[in-house]
Amino acid sequence: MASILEIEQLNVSYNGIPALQNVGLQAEKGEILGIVGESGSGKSTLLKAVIGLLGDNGRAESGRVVFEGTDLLRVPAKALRGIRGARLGMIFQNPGTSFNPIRKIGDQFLEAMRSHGKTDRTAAIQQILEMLARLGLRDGERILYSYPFELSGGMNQRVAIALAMILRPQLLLADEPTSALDVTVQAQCVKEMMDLRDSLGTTILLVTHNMGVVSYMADKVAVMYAGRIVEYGAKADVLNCPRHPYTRALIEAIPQIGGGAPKGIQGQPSAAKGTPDGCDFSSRCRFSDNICAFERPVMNDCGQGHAVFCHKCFSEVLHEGVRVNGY
Amino acid sequence: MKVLELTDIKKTFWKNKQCFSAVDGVSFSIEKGECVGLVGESGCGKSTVARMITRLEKTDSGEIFVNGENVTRCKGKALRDMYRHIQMVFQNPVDSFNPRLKLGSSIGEVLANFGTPRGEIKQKVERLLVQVGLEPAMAMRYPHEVSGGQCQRAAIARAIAIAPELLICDEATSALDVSVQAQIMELLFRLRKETQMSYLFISHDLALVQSICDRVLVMHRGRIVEAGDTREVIEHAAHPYTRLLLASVFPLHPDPQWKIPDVPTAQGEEGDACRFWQRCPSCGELCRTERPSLRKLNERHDVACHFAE
Ligand SMILES: Nc1ncnc2c1ncn2[C@@H]1O[C@H](COP(=O)(O)OP(=O)(O)OP(=O)(O)O)[C@@H](O)[C@H]1O
Ligand SMILES: Nc1ncnc2c1ncn2[C@@H]1O[C@H](COP(=O)(O)OP(=O)(O)OP(=O)(O)O)[C@@H](O)[C@H]1O
Ligand code: SF4
Ligand SMILES: [Mg+2]
Ligand SMILES: [Mg+2]
Repeated sequence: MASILEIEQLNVSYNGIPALQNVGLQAEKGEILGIVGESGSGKSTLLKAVIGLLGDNGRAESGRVVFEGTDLLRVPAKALRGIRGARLGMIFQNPGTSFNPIRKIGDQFLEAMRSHGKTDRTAAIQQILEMLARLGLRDGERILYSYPFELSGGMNQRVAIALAMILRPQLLLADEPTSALDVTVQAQCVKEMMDLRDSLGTTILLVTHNMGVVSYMADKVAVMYAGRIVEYGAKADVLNCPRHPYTRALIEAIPQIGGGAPKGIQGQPSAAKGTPDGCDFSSRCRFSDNICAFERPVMNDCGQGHAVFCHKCFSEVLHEGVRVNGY
Repeated sequence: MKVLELTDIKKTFWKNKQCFSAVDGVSFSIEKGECVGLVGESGCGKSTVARMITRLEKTDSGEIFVNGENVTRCKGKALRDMYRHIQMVFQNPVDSFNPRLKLGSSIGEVLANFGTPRGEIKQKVERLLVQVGLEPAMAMRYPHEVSGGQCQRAAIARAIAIAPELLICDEATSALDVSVQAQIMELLFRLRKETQMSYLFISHDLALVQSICDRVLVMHRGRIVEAGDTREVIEHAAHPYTRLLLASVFPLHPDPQWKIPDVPTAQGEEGDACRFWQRCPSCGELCRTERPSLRKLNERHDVACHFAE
C-alpha cells in the first residue's frame, strides 16, 4: 500500500541556521504517528514544514514531503491553500494561531466551512455545536458568541481541535493538542481523534509531551533530538525497549503518581547544530565513549523497522528495561 | 506567616446578556515557603483566580491579602509594590510577551523596573536564561522565533528575575518535555530552599503536582471541591470528581484493563444542585436540591460532597 505521507531527507533552516536535519518518515492511511522529543528539537518545525507555514525566516532547504502523491514543497501557494483545511488539517501548538483574535469564534467556523463548500448556516451551526459537545464543551452557544480571549486556555484548545476536525481531513497535524486540558477532558478529546481515524481513516501526526497519550494513541513513535529523528519504530519497541540513550533518559524522567521528584537529563538542552561530526547527545550521554564525540552515528536498523541513530544501539547495556522513576 | 490569603472571592462575566459565574466563592491561603497545587476541570476558573490575585481581573466580591495587607483594590504605588512580591508565569507564554521586543529586552525590562542598575542587566538576563536551560543567544530572539517550550522557559526566567516571594505558575511547564520539565522543577525547588519562595502551582499534570506540592486544591466549576495535604488527597480522594480525574490519567504502559472512563456531559444550569450531580456516580436525592459546601473530613482534608467520607 502506498503511504499517504512520505517525508524524505528533509532539511529546514531559520535564517540559515539548521532546525531539521535529514528528517525522514512515512505514514500509512489511518496510522497515528507519535512524535516526542526535547523542547526545541524541531517537532513544530516538522509539522509546519508539511503544511507549508514556516514563516518569513524559515525555509525548506532540501528534501521531499509527498502527500497523496504530490510533493508539497513544490506545489504553488494557491494549490496548497486548497489542500489545507479540507485534506490537511492542523492544530497549532499555540491555539491563538488558529484564530483571529478580534472575530467571534462562530463567525470563524462558518467562514472556514463556507470556503470549503458547506453553505447551509443552520446545519453548519448544528454540526459545530455537536462537535463542541463531543469535546466536552457544554455551553457551545456561549462559545460561538465569544472572542478567543474570553475563553479559558483549554476551551480555546478544544475549539481549535474542533475547527481542524470539522472539515474531516485525510491528514491531521496535531501539535500538542491536549496540553491545556485536564485529564478527563483530555481523554474525551483523545477519543474523538481516534474516532475520526476509525471512521474516516485519517492519518494523524501527533506531537505531544504526554507519554501516556502517545502510548494510548500512537501506532508508531518518532523521537527527536536536536533537529533529527534519533529513534523510530513501532510504539511497543520504542516505549518498552528504547535503544537510544536519549529516549531512555526521557522515559525515566516521566513523573508518576506515587513517585518522587523526577530527575532531568544533566546538561543544557541543545538545539540543532549542524556541526560536522560527533553525536549531538554525546556531552550528556551516560553511554558515550570516544567514538561518540568524533564521529556522527548513522541510522542503524535494529530489526522490524526499529531505527536508532546511535553508535551504541547494539550494545548489551542498552538491552535492559528502563527504570521509570525507580520502578 | 501567610504570604497570600483569599477570602470568598467571586467573579462573574457577562456574555450575550447572560451572566456567567466563573469563580464562585474561593478561599485559601499559602504560607511562606509553601507550594500549593491547583488542579481542576478546564474552564473551572483557575486562571481567573490567578488573574484576580495579580489584579489583571477585578474582583467582584471577597478580599485578597498579600503578607497581611489587603490588596483587593490597591492602586498606583501600592500595586507596583505588590508586583515585587508576586510574579506570574502565564498560561499562554507567547501572548504574555510583547511581540515587538526581543526576549532579552522583555526580561531586562522587569529587572530595570525593580532597580537593577543598567550595567548589570545584560549579564543577569543571560544568567537567568542559562538557569532555565536556554542559550544566552536566545536573548536576541523575538517571541515568535523560538519554540513553544523555549518561550515558556523565557517566561519562567522573567518571573523569577526579581526573586518574588510568591510565584504563580499557570500551566508553566505544559509545553516542556518531561526531562526539561524536571530540570525546571529542580530549579524551582532550589529557589524555594534558598529564598523561601512560595508557589501557587496550577497544573493538569496530577503526577507532577503530587511530586512537588505540599497541599493541593481541586476546583470544579468555580468552586473548590476538595483540598488538603497532597498525599492524603491523592491516596484517599474523597470527591467523586477528584476520583474521576485520577481515573482518567493515561497510563504509560498500556494496561489492557484501562479504559477511558465513560461519563455523561452535563447539560443546562444546575440551580441549587451540586454542580457535579449529572456526572456523578454516587449522586443522591440531596445532591439535586442542595449544593454541598466545603467541610472537614479530618485535620488535613476538606471536601465539598454530601456523601464523601
Ligand atoms: N521563526 C523562527 N526563527 C528562528 N528560529 C526558530 C523559529 N522557530 C523556531 N526556531 C528554532 O528552531 C528550533 C526548533 O523549534 P520548534 O518550534 O520546531 O521546536 P519544538 O520541538 O516544537 O519545541 P517545543 O516542544 O518547545 O515546542 C528551536 O531551537 C527554535 O528556537
Ligand atoms: N474576559 C472574559 N470574558 C468572559 N468570560 C471569561 C473571560 N475570561 C474567562 N472567562 C470565562 O471564565 C471561565 C473560567 O476561565 P479560566 O480561564 O479561569 O479557566 P481555567 O480554569 O484556567 O481553564 P483552563 O484549564 O482551560 O485554562 C471560562 O468559562 C471562560 O470562558
Ligand atoms: S552515539 Fe554515543 S553519545 Fe550519542 S547517544 Fe549513542 S551512546 Fe550516547
Ligand atoms: Mg513546538
Ligand atoms: Mg487557565
